[in-house]
Amino acid sequence: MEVLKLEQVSYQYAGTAKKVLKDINIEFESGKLYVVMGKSGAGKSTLLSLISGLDLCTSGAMLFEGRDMKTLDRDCYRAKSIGVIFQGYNLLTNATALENILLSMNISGSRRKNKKEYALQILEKVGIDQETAERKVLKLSGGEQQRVGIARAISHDPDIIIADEPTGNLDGDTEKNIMEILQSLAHEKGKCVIVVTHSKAVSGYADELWGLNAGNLVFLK
Amino acid sequence: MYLFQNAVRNIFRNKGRNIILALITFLIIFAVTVSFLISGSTKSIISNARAQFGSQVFIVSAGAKEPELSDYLKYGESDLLQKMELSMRSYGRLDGLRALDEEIPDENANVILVSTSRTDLSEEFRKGLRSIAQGSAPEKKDECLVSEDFAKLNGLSVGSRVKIAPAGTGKDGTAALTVSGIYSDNSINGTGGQAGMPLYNRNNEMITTAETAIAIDFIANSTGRQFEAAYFLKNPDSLEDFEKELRDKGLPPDCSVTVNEEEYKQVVGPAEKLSKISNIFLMIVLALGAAVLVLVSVMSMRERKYEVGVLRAMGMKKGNVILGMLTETVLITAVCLAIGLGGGTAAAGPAAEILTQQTVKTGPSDSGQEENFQTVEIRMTSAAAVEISLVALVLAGISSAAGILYITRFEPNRILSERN
Repeated sequence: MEVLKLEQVSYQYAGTAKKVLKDINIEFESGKLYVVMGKSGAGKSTLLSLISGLDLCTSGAMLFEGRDMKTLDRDCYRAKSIGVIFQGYNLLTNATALENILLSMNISGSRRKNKKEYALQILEKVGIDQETAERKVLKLSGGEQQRVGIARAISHDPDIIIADEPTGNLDGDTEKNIMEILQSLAHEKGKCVIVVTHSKAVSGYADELWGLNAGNLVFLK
Repeated sequence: MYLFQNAVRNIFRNKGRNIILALITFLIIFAVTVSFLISGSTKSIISNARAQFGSQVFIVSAGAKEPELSDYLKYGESDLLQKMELSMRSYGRLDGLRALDEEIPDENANVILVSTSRTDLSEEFRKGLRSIAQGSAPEKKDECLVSEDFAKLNGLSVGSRVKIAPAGTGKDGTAALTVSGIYSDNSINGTGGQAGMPLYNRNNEMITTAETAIAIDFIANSTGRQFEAAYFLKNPDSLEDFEKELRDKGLPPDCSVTVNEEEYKQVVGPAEKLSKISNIFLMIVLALGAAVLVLVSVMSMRERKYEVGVLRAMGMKKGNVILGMLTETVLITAVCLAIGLGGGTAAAGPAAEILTQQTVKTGPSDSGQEENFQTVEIRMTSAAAVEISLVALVLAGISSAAGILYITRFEPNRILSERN
């Protein structure tokens, strides 16, 4: 089922003539894992910003469940419908891992009972035990922070999960573990998972593989 | 609810920053409290002095012809006055009784009738030089107080009757007074009595109400009576109107109408200066405090820019981000307010007391001001607490608003991309 559709989407930064993204057309469906590969400067981060609702395209249309993103409450979209795994983690560093997850759930308006237990379960699923969960993010390693970022992205049960280099700071085993989690979220939980990466190993998990080159999105596999 | 919980947690998460913010807020509230209370107490001093000296009017006669008692009473019938105080000394002759120090009874005056319209009697009673030993102060017409010595000499007790007749005035008549009480003479300077000179003995003074004295004015002898009238204006600013009214009622041109202006200025002058100083201090504290708070707040918000970016990226609405930050500021301010009000009140008390004592010292020593200033209350009132709380909230609001306006100009995407 289609959840997000990009129609002739282009993007250019204010005051510049160059288009970072050029007439992109793609449909994202539930239950699939998409991998977008591209070199640095290809427009991956811009694409991620648009999909995650942090920015709007300068031309074309982005439709979430058939509704134009320009007319949507983008705060609500970010809080409830999408989970973003940032390359730079973007966690609240002076809060604990657990508090980051709980805050995300609260912002999304989650009415789940026993939020703390649920948050600890999610953290455990990505390899963060309770002791680590109750430590401040600042005191966690890069790999641990990445896992907390993943846990946060899935904590509020969003329709779309988008990940920017989710395994960039992880070792091979953990990378495999994380990708299996993302894959299971797509295949078993019916989520639409979009991964932006350089990693060829990650591309192996893709249901659809796309390439982004100089602002053009091309279907690879 | 989660916003509040998160705000509370944030206060403890960023202890260093919040301690600095709290310290500055506390110092401002402390200084504002001290200034408010000092300003309040000086206002109270000024208002008391104004009520005492600015509203008390005397008629001073410079000519040969002094107004009569009836004139003074007529002047007292004015809508501009809150009250009139009349004190009078007149002289009479006891009928069938003896006066102290009286050796050979003759036709001369041997008793002094001291009257006042004040319910707390004369200054001697207020200062403790005399006190009521039995019975009570005269309240009804034809009641009087007599001294213990006088009562003993004549075998009088409460309820006894004393008759007084005119002495050497050529007037006829007798006034009968009822002893309502007996007073003790606590003066350490003696009675002033001399054998054969009963009018010199202060214990021959019979104390009665002004109403009684006016009614039996025929008692006064040829030496005349001495009386003093003080008029208390409802509004100290209505002096000119009152004088005009007195002139219309026939007050002679050589009589002047005056207030206790010199004493008023002596008392109010230093208090007004201190009030000005405390107000200037308050303005400086508020202006500097607001500027420092805004600066600290903006710096603090710069530091929190990334946090705002993350919260916004997570979907928190701009309004909720602001609400969370305002909650933090209000909580810090509330704690500082409680401590600042307590500390400020504790510090302002002694400061205001010193100020009061200094003000008293600069006033005339025999004017009774000391008595007045000791009654000035120096304490935190609910109105002052509300005013200080409002000042604190406005300061918190201004500082938060500056920081929040600064931070909300940025979109989350920009904040995060700058950070990354």
